[in-house]
Amino acid sequence: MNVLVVDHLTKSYGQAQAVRDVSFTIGEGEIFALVGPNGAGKSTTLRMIATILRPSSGTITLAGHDVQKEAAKVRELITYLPEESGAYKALSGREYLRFMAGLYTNDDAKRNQCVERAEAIADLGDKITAKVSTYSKGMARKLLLARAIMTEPKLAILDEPTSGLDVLNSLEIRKLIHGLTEHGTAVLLSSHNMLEIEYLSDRIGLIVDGQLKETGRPADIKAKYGAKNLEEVFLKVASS
Amino acid sequence: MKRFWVLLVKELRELVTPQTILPIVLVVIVFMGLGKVISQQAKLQGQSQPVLVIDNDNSSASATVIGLLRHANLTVTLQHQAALPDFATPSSQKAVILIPAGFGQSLAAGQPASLDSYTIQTGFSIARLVDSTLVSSAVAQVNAALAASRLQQALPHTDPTAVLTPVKNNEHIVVGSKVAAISPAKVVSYLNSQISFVPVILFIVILFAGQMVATAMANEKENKTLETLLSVPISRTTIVGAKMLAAGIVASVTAAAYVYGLHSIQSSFTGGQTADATTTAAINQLGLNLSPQSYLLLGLTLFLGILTALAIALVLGAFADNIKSVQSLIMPLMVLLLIPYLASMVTDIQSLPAVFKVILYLIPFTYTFQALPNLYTHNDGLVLLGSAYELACFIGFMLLAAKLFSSDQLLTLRLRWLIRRR
Repeated sequence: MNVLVVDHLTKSYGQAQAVRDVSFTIGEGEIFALVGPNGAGKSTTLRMIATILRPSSGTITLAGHDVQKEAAKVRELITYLPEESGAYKALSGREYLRFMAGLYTNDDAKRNQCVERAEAIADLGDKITAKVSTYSKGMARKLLLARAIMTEPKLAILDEPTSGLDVLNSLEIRKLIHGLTEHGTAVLLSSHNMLEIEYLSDRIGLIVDGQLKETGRPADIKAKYGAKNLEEVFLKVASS
Repeated sequence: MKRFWVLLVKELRELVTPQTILPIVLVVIVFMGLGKVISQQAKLQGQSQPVLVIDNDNSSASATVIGLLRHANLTVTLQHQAALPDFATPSSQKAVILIPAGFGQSLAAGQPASLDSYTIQTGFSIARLVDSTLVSSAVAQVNAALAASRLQQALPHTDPTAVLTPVKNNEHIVVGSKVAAISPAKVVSYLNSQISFVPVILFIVILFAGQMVATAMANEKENKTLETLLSVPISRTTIVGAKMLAAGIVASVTAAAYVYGLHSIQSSFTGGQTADATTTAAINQLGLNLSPQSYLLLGLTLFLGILTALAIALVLGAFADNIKSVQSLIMPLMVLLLIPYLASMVTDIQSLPAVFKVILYLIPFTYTFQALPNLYTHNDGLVLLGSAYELACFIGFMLLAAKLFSSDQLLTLRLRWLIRRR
């Protein structure tokens, strides 16, 4: 069953078209990655699905709810981790998680459960009580990812989840994302890192100049283009 | 409601930091300290001031003058047949008065007699202004007493005051249709002392509230938390409402602190004394006191003024990419506040030419700044009308803010610019 259905999605800023007629679906527990260069329209697509930007045309349906018409309901079912994301510096890691959990539920027990889950995911030890302003980039990203998945959403939208992280931190975060699908959460992510995409994704979508050029399983796409890896596929698609 | 509370607490934690608290505490401490210093200065000035009198005449007339100087609240150190002291040597004396030889002789001959005074000026501040008139005030009292005495001798059957002040002005003040027998200067001075700091407080509280909410918006963008916040299951109205309320609370607490500090300074000028019985009676007779209804109206216009400023700041804050840009973005709000603030401080708006009046009354904050003078003169209708206008402005800016927040604008204002740049 499809959790997300994106149908003929377009986003224009005046004359400029950032996203052109993009369509794809994501099934329950599936990891779908949007791959493309800078300015290809990945983040704009993710923002529209996250209810932050309004599509110029086309529809997005999440678990049967129209993202534009039922934005409030959709926000209950998704979480979004922007590429350039931060936490409130005046708060400690735990306070930040508690604050964010409080925005998803009015039930104190559920809120505590979310925070406990997130603390276990972030695995920051004693640093969880320290101010966010004292965190390294890797620690902050782990905290934000923990925040994004603590509510066990229907769809987790992760824009460049390992952006700017070292190898060790990236590996940890990839493991976390993989573990997410065990609870049925679908993941939509974007990345430049083809190795990461190949390791993580069930299916991928290659996006160039706002257009979705190719979708499918990484192995199938590689076979179709006779390429050894996704980087080769990407070069062939981008130059065609 | 619970989620609103969660947001409000977060907003307050973001706004109430050592960086915001410290300046407020410092201002209050400085104001209170200043108040104490001014109060001590005022007390010292009320005391008898030391002067050195050198009597080189040694006549009964000079003795009379010295007696009169003592009567004029001067503590006289007397020297006979002496030269002027060396002014380079530090001294506790505030002035030196030299009565030259022949002083009494001139007076006896019915001629004006001269004495020389040397005021030792140790500073040029307002507090030292009294020193500069110390001798001239005392000599004026001496002259009045001597003139009365001489008149008494020349015209024993005439009241000296009838000659010295042949016309007496029985002053009255008229406010609206009410009349009171009192010096208008006394009433104006008293009312001024009561309301002069109000515009300062209004200016601070409204500007501060506006700056807070714009900074809160800029903070969200600078810390990259805005996108996440916009994707959580909370209405945009709740996000905006929490930001506005938090800014309003912090601004109100700041205003209270400033009122306390300014009140300390103001009390120091009057020595903590309120109006005398005559002034109080006249104020009551003229109806120049505020009723509970007046206070309600004042509160209403202030509340609406703050709301309008918050709504304007919210719209301006939407354009801010970082905290640095808030200062320049908030400039239009500052100008809108500064114009009625200065106008209410230096002029009577009603007496201005029509064009300026229209411009001023188009600015919603003018009604807040003018509220107190209008309430004192029982012009409640204008205060109500102003409040209605402020409410209309608030609704207008809120609708604009709501449109910004519920559309892409909040993010695309910057995005569009980036796309154009590419």
